[in-house]
Amino acid sequence: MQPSQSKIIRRPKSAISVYSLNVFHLRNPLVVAWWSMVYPGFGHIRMVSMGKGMFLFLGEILINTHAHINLAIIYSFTGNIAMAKEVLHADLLILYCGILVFAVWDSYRVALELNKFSVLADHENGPMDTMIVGSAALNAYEKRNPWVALAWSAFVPGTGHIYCMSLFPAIFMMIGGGTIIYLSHLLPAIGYTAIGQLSAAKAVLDWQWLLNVPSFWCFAVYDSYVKAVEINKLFDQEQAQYLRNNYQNTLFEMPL
Amino acid sequence: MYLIASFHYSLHTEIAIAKVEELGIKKEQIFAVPLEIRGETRNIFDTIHHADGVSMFDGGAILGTACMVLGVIYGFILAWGPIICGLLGLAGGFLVGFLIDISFTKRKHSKARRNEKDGELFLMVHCDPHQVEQVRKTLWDHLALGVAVLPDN
Repeated sequence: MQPSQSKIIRRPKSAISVYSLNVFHLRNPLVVAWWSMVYPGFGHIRMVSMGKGMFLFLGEILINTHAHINLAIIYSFTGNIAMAKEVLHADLLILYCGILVFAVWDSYRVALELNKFSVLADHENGPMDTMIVGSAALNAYEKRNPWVALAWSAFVPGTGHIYCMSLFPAIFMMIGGGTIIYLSHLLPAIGYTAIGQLSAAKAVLDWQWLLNVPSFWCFAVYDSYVKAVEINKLFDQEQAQYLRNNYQNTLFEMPL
Repeated sequence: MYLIASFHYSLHTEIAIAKVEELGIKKEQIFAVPLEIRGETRNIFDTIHHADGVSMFDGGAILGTACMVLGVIYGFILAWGPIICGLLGLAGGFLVGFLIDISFTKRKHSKARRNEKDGELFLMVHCDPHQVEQVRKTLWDHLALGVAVLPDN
């Protein structure tokens, strides 16, 4: 890192550290809002607002678990409204609505803001730090295969993020995903399903926790894929800038 | 003599330039023409809608998540159980979302997609005739997509 450089660049395009490579890139605010709707906090984590995102996520999972919202969703969707009413704890239920709507609104707002920063950074086209070498890690602009990120995330949520130089989202995904998978008893259920014992699979699953799995898993897969795409675009942009600055000498004798 | 080569943006390209310079070619004898990066337009109102260039995946991810949740829920009352129903929901939702995306964005993206596999930047190297073979080999060895040799005038 060269601190003198960052003073000159008013709107940097990216920040590279030994923990992560973050880029201002255009995000569809509606998609960000959708992820917040799926799980309050995910929209913010999409924009690498890890603190805000994990705080909202923790709030949602505590309220959800205490109020049995997932259970009530399962009962309601399967037509068992009476049971849905019975399992719901009203104490915290209404607070959940506030958190959900706030997460959607705030992530949409921040996405619009980041898009403006992205446009300004592209316009400024300032020099970028392409590499950082620390005592315990090194990161550099390099290409990543989005499908490899996707595949790793599909096997173990979080590994795709490690591949894409995002340590903090990776830690969140691995600890959060591991906890949810463990508490839902998903893996034994997959084992039972694989050998055809479907009723045993249903019996071993924890319904309340299982409903967290699809959203979490899909988000981990999607987020790592997009990260890889954006890292590649950043690489292209920086290399083009470098070549323009260094290999377009006026002394070059043009053919003809 | 001039050598003209097309490349993708990659570390190999920088290594190719470094190796050519090691052959005794000066920096002023190398001219790079990086082509405009597709999709990164400066028009915020246009790009906000297919914002990050991965909108072909957005629809699939959105519908896939929604249908996977539904699959898990109904799996509890269906014979096949939540896991198989969840996976079927994911596959079905992703497919439908992906197809919707394609049908909506096909016209907009067709040009960008067509160019994706072509060269992204061009290198011109001006060198003496006796260096041509070495330079050409260096360019090919570092993943040039195509190389042409032009005589001086």
